Amino acid sequence: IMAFELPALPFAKNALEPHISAETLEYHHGKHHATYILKLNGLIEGTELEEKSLEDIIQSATGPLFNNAAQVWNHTFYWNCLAPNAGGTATGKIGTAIIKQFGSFEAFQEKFNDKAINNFASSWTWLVKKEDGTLDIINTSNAGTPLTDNSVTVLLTVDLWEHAYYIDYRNVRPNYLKGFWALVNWDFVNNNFA
Amino acid sequence: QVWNHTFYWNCLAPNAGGTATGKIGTAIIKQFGSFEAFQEKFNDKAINNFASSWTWLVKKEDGTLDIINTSNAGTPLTDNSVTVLLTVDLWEHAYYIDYRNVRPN
Repeated sequence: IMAFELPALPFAKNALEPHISAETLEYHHGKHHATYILKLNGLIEGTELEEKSLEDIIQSATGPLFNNAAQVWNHTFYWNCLAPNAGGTATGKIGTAIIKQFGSFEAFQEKFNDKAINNFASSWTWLVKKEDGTLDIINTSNAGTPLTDNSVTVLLTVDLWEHAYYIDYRNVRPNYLKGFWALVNWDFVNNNFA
Repeated sequence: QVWNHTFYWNCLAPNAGGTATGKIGTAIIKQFGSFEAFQEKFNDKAINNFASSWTWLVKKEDGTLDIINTSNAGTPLTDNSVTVLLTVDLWEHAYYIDYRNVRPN
């Protein structure tokens, strides 16, 4: 029986600058993500959920338990989607798959950005692989996650809650997305795609 | 969101705040026991209002008060059984510059 722990960021707090500031990571990881962990632990303490994996909890949870558990998972996944000295055009097998399906990386990026910019309120935009092997760009709201959709494999995400970009970009989501594309860890995406 | 924000600006003023005055002040004490007890209930709803959201004080058809939460652009304007009295915007853009993640502040 173990309480969940906040995973460390896979990089130094200033490693994503100038695209995402150290201050943003201090709040986003150190406060928001940390609070989801704290609340999740509080909700499972003394229950049989303490024996379950995070993914198992998410699959059957509703309400505050779902919100906190899913947000824990979503944020851990998001940190892994970012890296210093990364970003740019997709590489490897996912790079090939993107060009095959969308025509070009730029065409894919445009579609992704359009979904992300129009994703209303606190939300996430995801790249997933469907059962037939094709890619899809999907939006979820609040703590929603494609983890609960057993017909897709999750490849990449961008956090569109305002706390993800307000310090660095204020209201200008398109600028945040430019920063995001400069950081995407295509190695992680390729591992998910395999 | 246009309507919600216009309503929100009208809920704020300089040289204002503090304990409720007038008829609403009386109604609050009558229903909640004290202004502080009302404030505690309102804060509890607001702090636990998940994600982009609004917390509202409304008057119901029977004249009693209610504290309700809406999500995203949701508004009690669409509920013809209530009169909208007061709101606080809980989208992060409302407080992130001044309070970062600390909604209670």
